[in-house]
Parts: sequence; C-alpha cells; structure tokens
Amino acid sequence: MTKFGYVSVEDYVPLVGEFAESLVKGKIFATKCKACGKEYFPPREECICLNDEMEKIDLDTSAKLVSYTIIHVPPESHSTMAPYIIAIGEFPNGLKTMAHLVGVTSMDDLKIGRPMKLVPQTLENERIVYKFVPA
Amino acid sequence: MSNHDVALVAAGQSKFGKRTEAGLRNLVFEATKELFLKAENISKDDIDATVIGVAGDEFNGQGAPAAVSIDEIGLVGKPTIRVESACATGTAAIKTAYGLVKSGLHDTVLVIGVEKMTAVTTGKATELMARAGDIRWEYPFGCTFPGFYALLATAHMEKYGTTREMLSSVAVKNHYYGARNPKAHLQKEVTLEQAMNSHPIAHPLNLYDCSLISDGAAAVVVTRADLAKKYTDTPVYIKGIGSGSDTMQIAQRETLTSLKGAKTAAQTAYKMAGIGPNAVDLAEVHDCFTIAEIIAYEDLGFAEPGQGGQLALDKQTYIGGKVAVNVDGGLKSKGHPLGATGVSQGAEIFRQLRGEVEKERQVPGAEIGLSHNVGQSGQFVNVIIYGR
Ligand SMILES: [Zn+2]
Repeated sequence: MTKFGYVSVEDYVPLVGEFAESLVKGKIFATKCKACGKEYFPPREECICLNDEMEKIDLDTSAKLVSYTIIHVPPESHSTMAPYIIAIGEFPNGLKTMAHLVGVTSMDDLKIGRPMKLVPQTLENERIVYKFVPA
Repeated sequence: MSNHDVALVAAGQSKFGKRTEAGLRNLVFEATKELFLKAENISKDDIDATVIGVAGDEFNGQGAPAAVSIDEIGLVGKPTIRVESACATGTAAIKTAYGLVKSGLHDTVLVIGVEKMTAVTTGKATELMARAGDIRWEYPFGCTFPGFYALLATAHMEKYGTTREMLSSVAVKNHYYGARNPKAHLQKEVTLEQAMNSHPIAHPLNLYDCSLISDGAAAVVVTRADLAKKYTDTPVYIKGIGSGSDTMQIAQRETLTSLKGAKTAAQTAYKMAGIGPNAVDLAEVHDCFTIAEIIAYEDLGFAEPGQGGQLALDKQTYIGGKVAVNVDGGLKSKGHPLGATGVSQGAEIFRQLRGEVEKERQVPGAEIGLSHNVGQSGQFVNVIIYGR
C-alpha cells in the first residue's frame, strides 16, 4: 500500500491510507462534517463538534502563498533533501495547509500571495505526497 | 484568599551548557544543592512534595525522570508528579505547584525543571523536536523547530516590515547579558554584523536567531504566603498566572504574526495581578528564536502589534530602557534545556527582585517580574507575574 509523506512515524490509519491511494489516482480530497458542515484539509475522521460522520469532498487545489521558509538544516529524516522550501498555502475555501513548494527558481518567485496549486507527487519506495507548485 | 497567597522562598540553578560530564541526576543535584545552600531558613525536611518538569524522555533515554530526580536528592517517600508541556514544561510545573499549595493539598513544594539534551546528536535532537509538530500532516514534510518559527518570521516581516537587523538586535542584546551570567551556556558577546551574517538554518532565521540545545536544571520552592516569612525575610509572591493554547498545525492559525495563546495568557495574568504591562520592571520571555522575542513584546503589550522589532532596534529592552528583557541571556545565550527553562525564568526573577544577581545585569529596584514561557510554536503558553 502506498504511504503518505516523505517520512512517517505513526501507524497507518485507514483515512491516511485512503488519502494516499486517492493521491495515486490524482485526486485530493478534503472531509466535511455531516452534522455541522465544517470542512477539513488535511482530512480528518472526526469533527471538533464530536461527530464522526464525515463525507469526502473534492478540494479546490488552487492556493495562495501565506508564508514560507527554506530549510537549510534538516531533521535527520530529511538529511539528504536540504535545502527545501516549506510553504503554507490558503485554498479558496479558507483552509490552509503546509507542504513543500517545488519549482521556484529565485527569491522573486516567493512573493506572499503568489498563486500556487497543490498537486500529488509520487516518491520512491511506494510513497506519495502533495506539494505546492507555482500556478 | 487574596491573590498573593502563594510565594517563592528559595531558588537554585545548575550551570547550563553542553554538560558532557553530567547526567540528568547530576543536573538535578546541582540545582537542588544550590537552592538549599543559598536558602536562608529552609531545609529538605520542610518539603512536603515535589513537582518535576521534564519535556522529553527521548533525549537521554531515561523513563520516569521524576522518580530518578527524587531518588537523587533524597526525597523518596514524599509525593511526586511529573509535568510536561513541551518547552513550557517549567512554568507548567510551577503552575502545578501553585495549585497544589493554593488548594491546601500540600504546604511546601519543591519544583525542579530539568532536561538532558546533548546526549543525542544535534541531528537527532532536531528530529525529536520536529516530532512535536503534527506527526501526520507536518512531520512528513521535515519542518524543523526553527522552520515553524521561520514561518512566523516571514509573515511578520511581510506584514510589518520587520527587518533582519531587528531580529539580530535581539541576539546581540541577549548575548550581551548572557556574557555577564556565569550560569549561561554561551557567555560570549556577538556583534550585529556577526549576528546578521551567520549561516542560514531556516530562512529567514540564521544560527544567531536560534536558541541553544542545552543541558541544565533549575529549582524553586513554592509555599503558602503565610508560611513564607518563616523561610525567608524576602519572599517573592506569585501575583498572577495565565495560560493559553493554539492549533496543533501551524498552518491552521488565524494569524502567523502573533501567538493567540500568549495574548490570552498575558491578559489573564495581568488581570489577576491587577497590573498592566507598564508595571513590569523585568521580563523573562521565551526567545527560542529572535522572532519569538519580538512577537512576545507585542503579545505582552510592551509594544503595539508590528512595533516589537523597532523596540529591539531602539535598545528599549536593555536595562534602563522601557522594560528589561532577558537580562540573563535568555534562551538564546543562557540556553534552553526545555523542562528547566520556565523554572529558570522563575529563579532568575526571584533573584532579580531580591537584588541578588551579578551587578552589571541587576535591574535596579525591580519589583515586578514577568515570565513568558511558550511550548512548541504556541500550543502551550504560560505567563506568570511575580512581585515582591
Ligand atoms: Zn462537526
């Protein structure tokens, strides 16, 4: 089964498994609480209203850059990857998430508010992740 | 009971640093021994219970660190409890002791905060601290602890025009005072040029924007105010405590230019103490990164939102300025042994308010001290206001 993330430490729970399999098919889903309507991305199995009946919804993956950092000194698990850009992006529905931003070539490309898109990226060792790319 | 019914009556601290010769036990011993040596009229027999603050077992591999701590200092048999709130563990331990004393469950409690961090490599320590991010949706991207604060720094610089020079001004100040604190990890001044041009860790933060990975312990004795004068002529009272929290994932914050939990904690603590930010003579703030100190100025009301960087640049947080901040070197130069930090802030304020610190870093006539201790990137915040 495909695993999510460049690395992971937790035991694989069903939701993350489904999310990874969906990414393989090129689809990125969020979840929505059937009781109160609150939406979550990254997806959650349970809502903070303490309801656990959630439905999967398509995420509009266009995003704007909210903040970023360039990691020069990585944790042990990412030791071969540095430097890499970690960005926070905000989607049209107001939800925000963290992911690598890949494909920018100069600091001029890192303007706050710049348009991006969240896309799946297949990694080695049967892993997959989402990343932001310039849009 | 009034607001002033719990007091600190003794304090001690180990040397902070890369203490290759000292394990967790030895650090606990050093802080506790100093506490009782310096104390006026209190002995181990007066201690009814202990609260031990340790952030992580993984750094040195010892489980049940509270049990080891009381074994080391001969308090086995008396009640003990271990407290953890990431980097805010130390103040969480003092807050726990406050509750135990105020409730009447115990009269006199010894609080020890300790962390032995350098037994693992820097890479491993970075890895362990990265796991304090959400392990499902943040850790997989390799966001380091400096990375989280770098995300705040980028946002603050963008929104308010905070500059590289402002960030480095904080480092220069904290190293200036750390160089005058014999307990500090790095007792060395740095120039603005050195601080601005050191190598990048997580852009826009460089080496001199980051606190140190340190070993160390600190201890205080918390007791009932009506017993305090039995132990010392000059107790230091806990006048206010406030706490707050924030989202686990940093991306989900409403704002990246302020810590919501710190604002809540500060407002609660000020209200309980019946004072405002202008009454604070010295503050011990959680400068795990230079940007964190600038944001702390704003969250604590020492500066308007967006003006924290200017406050640093104008040297208003040196002794003699608007408010003296981190005149023991802060986490930046004194060091940041996670569990010890909040207790060390309390120990420093205890000594400052009694006029007992090294002359060149003593805040003259200080009456009110504020401790601001942040866990992770704002998920835990405690603010404690101390007064004579
Ligand atoms: Zn709900």
